Amino acid sequence: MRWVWSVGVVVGLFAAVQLFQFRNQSSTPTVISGSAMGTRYHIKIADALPVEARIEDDIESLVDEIEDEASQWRESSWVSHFNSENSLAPIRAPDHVWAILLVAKEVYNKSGGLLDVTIGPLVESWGFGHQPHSDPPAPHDLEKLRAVCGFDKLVLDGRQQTIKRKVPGLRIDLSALAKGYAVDQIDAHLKGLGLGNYVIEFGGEVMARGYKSCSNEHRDSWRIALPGYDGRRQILGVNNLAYATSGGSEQNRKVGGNSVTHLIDPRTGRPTRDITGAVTVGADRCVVADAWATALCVASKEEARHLAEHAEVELMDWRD
Amino acid sequence: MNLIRHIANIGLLFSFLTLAVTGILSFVLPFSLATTRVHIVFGFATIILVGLHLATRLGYFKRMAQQSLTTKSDGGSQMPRSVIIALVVVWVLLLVVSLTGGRPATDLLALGYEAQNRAEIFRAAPRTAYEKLGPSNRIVSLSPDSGELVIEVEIEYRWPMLEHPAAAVWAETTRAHMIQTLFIDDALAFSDTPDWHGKPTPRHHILPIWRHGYTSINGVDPNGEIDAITEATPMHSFSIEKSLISGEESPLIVCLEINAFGDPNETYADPRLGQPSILYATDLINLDDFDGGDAYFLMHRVAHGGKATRSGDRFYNFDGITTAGDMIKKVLVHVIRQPATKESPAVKASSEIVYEGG
Repeated sequence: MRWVWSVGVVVGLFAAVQLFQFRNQSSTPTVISGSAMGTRYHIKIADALPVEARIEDDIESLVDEIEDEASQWRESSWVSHFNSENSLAPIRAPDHVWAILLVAKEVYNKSGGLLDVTIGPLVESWGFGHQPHSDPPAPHDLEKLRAVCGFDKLVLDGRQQTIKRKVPGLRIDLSALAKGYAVDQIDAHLKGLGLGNYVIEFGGEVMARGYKSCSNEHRDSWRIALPGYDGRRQILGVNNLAYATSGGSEQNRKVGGNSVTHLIDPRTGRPTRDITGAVTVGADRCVVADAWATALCVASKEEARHLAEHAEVELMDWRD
Repeated sequence: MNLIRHIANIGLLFSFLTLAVTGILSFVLPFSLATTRVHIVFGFATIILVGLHLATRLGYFKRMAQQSLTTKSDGGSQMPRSVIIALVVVWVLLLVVSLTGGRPATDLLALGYEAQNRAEIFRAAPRTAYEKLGPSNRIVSLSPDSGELVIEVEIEYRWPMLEHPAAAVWAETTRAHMIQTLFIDDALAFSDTPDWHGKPTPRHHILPIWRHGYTSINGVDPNGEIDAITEATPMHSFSIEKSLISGEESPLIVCLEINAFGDPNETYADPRLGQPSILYATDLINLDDFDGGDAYFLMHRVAHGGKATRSGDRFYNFDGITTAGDMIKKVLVHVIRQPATKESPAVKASSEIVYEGG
């Protein structure tokens, strides 16, 4: 008789676990949306939310905090203050800015300078800054601007968490990485709440965790649309990976009669001219994917493939 | 009195000459705001001067009236009564003929520029220049990236609407391949199953034609199976401008799909979805003919969404569609191309969407 009870207890426990899993996987994902950094973010959470969680407010505050430090488009941000000064003294960087700079420095080194967060003046000179225009910079102006650009002219001191200009006028622009970084921060926050099945999309940067739905029979991955060729998107099932895409389709203009994108090759100071192509990079962290997508987008196809292999990131090159 | 008479006479000479020249110009040439303005101003001046002139001749009219009432015509300086009667009759006849549009008024008008070029002239409505749209109508104004181009879609309803129907505007090729969505209601923009009057409703039930076209260019299935898109950071700007200016997708067609909530009838009895969405479209907009300035394009009712929730098919038989097919009086697309200037506000981070009316 005792074995009957034992089997009953085991079956009961198994049923309880299944029931818990079922309850923990909501049938309709919760969707959270908001606007920040000049674009929008969307989060789909497949898990049932903790009753006490105020996820929407938390995420809004978190993103606001990052913008407050890292956005060059917010006048009161730390980066804006840094850029408005010309001091050559070491300045302590706040945590978010520091974390982004570390990733930027690593990719800068590994890519041979293809990602450079100091080329803001060059970007502006091609008409993609606060004051858009359609005149190309004169060659001698370009050389002058290049003299105050370059990550090698910015010293990062890890012991003090400080940054220091080597030349006056050097500025930093973290907008290429800030969205990817925000995705990682949201990811960490959701993980901290015990959630494991969600997808975060922030201005085209994506992080998919866990599954959209799972049962004993099958698991549905999150379905992510990629740029694809000829305007036809490709769809990929993704779990536990981040994707970021960089391309000139959204920001381009005619300058001096030629179409150019906002993506500047730091090696030449000149913008890329492919306004339809894009590069998608997959990585464990979205900020890394974001950084590499920006870097590889100004590289040639062959160079991009080689660098991606070396950096151990997944590359999908949608350029002709 | 003499001074007033001189002022009236000489003033009338100049005023009449101006009025005559601008009147003839208006008659034989295409509409010109400047000509019309001059004509109207001098019309008022002429009215005042003629009034002055008549005021100086009041004695003459009094004498004429008294003589014609008290004495018979002697064929001398007095105006014969028959002539006065004839003048009154001619005046009344001309007034009636011109008011009612009879001949020879119509023959005369047929000689004018507007009559001879009627097929090429579109005047949106008599109130275009002088009246704002009524409170229940809607203007969707889109200002793409460079500030050079504004596209206004003016939707005029046939009857007052308590709320705007769901709407999407897009541009497509002659093969009905969507180039780009130009406008979609906020409520429908960010969810594939938006809340529609208190109940989640799939977009492909509300605007099936737009939803299917959208699928064809971005791969997002109507089932809502796509969870996220990785792409270059969207700036919410429209590349339709490139098409319109560079002619990359010329010719193109601008479409509007519109669907009013809760308009069931006998054929379409679902109390929520009611009658299907209606598709309006312009004729071909041939960019080679679009030399700048601005241009108007009228939309025509071309199809409806039927029950094409999955296929996005277009149905051309309007049997069974009642109020949904009649609710739109006019849809006018106004493309305004402004000259590019160095100081132009250029890249606005987002397209500007303006709603007017209730």
